Amino acid sequence: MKQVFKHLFLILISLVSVFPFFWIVVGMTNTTEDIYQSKLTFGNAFFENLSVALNQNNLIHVLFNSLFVTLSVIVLAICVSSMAAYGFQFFGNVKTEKLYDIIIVSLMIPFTALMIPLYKQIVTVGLLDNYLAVILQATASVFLLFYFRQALKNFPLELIEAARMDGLQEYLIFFKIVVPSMKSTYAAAIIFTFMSSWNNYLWPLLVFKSDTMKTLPLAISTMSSGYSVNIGAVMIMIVISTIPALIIFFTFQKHFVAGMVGSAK
Amino acid sequence: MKKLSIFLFAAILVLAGCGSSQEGDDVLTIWAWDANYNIPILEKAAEIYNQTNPEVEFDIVEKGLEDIEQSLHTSFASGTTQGLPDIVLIQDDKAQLFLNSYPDAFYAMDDAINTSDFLDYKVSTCQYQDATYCLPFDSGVAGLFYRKDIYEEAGYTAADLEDITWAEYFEIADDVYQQTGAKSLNYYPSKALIKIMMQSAGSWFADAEYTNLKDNPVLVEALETSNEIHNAEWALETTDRDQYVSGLNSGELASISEGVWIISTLTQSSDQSGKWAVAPTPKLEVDGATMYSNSGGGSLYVVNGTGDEELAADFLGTAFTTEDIYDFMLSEVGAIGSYIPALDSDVYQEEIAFFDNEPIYATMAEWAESVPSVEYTPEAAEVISTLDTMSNDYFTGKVTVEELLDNVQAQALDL
Repeated sequence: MKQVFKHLFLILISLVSVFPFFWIVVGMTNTTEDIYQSKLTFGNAFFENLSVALNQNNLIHVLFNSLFVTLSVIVLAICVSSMAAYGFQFFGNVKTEKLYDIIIVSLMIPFTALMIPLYKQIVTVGLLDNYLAVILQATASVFLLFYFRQALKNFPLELIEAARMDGLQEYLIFFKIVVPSMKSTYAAAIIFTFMSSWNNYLWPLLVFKSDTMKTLPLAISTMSSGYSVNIGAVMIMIVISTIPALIIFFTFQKHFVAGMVGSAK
Repeated sequence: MKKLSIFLFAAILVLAGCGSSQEGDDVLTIWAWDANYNIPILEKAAEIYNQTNPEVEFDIVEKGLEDIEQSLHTSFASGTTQGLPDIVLIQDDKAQLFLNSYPDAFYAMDDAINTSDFLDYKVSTCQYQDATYCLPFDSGVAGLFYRKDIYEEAGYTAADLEDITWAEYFEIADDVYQQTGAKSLNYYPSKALIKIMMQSAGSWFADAEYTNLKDNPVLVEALETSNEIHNAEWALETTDRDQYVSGLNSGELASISEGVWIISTLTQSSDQSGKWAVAPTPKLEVDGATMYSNSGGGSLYVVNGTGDEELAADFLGTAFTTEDIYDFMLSEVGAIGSYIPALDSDVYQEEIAFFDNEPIYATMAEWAESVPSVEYTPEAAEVISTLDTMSNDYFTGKVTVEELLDNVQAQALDL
């Protein structure tokens, strides 16, 4: 009996949490008017909405921008941060520790306080309206550095020393020994970086000026600002922006939990 | 891994090379929001200007309303105009905030346009230190839109809604509700209705005439009138705009006091065609009260320091003083312009099927010319946002209107 209640309760909770997704998917197929009237059945306006998203809002190009920026950020930020963490951990001395502390303290400064000086810098180097403005800003991630360093603290030094003894070059030690044995840490870092870059709104808004540079959050924000909004088309954009996040999450899910506990076993 | 990184890095560098357009180059960049409202109007204006100036190119960028404001603030605060457009659309009630905060940011339009050709109350929104900084764009002239069929069922005709006070209107609304079950007006926290009431009596939040907010009879009266709506069973309780749009489309809501732009939302429900009508805004019971008001609307500003200021001002001064553009605005997107000579063109006289073949645009354009001017000061914006958070105490009966205004004054103005 206890089991029955437990399951009923769980089913209820999952229905509640799945409902918003269901609502968005149904919304994709309905006209704005039907959506406002809370229609819960599938309609036949899907292709109409899709064509608004594709033609009026450049869905394909926007999706490309988002993917390009996010993938670049993932590759660069993870390379830079994990290598830096390796350096700090295994080649550190008193001075680098001080430097590390200073870098960590910068985690406490909110982005809004950095925004204007950062913007000035980007203008000065002429990177306005350029993918690099967003990619470079996210490349040096203090959080990732901290995260990788914490994971590396549990990494057995003996493994590295054994490799050095065998004459393996330092960068090969990193790529052939450290990286493969920290897969779960990397998986968690990839999910984290993906999420923050994919959903990044404020910074791209400031540095991407032209229509052709819009990323998904910017495009959705643009579409929702008007006297009469095509909600169905907005729903399509939202679904499309959710799918890659789901794919990434489910692909790396099994590593993710391990990574959060995180160490080389 | 290494090869992949090198490849990606190279790809980034190549793509990064795709730079942006340079300034002072006969390309006019314009930022505006709403792909179905402002953007087509600007595209048409570009087309009109190109007839006489074919060498000028246009880059019309659609951006969210708040996104535009955020971008402008960051750029102006950083002291750079790089990456800013040549022309930008700004909401009227935010204009003074920008003009006061960044006095050199915009280009004065006095030489490009004859300000007396434009609606007075629109021009006054962008005047700062004796100069006019905008091209007045769309008018948000307000009216009381109501379901003619439902009101007639309850025994009310257009004449009953003409030149009445809010108190008189509330009696009608109550009667309509008792007889038909349809609700009238709505309230939600955005204060749109209070703004309409204030402007109809020619006063605004933080009116310079009164040191204390509670001494402003218009503000007190507007709040008291809104309070009645909040506590009336004939009014529809909504928490956001989506809910009242839903109420309109479903027929639950039989009247709404809004700007002319609400028509594009109303007409989404094609099954309600022929059933709507518009009456003048009811009056407050204060000195200077009129039946004419405004809700929303924006104006176009030329950004200083882009190198194309004169061209941009010439474009606005030329394209937006032709009858063509205003006819297009009205017939294609249902927007009433602010250029007085165009307000009596034939297009305005057309009978609108959705409104039971009444020439409502001619009527509303006439009202637009009588809307009182008010000052959308930055202090007023502060008062409005403080009211947003505090007014609920008054509407739920926790404080009196004087106490509310004292609290708002303390938080928003007396710092």
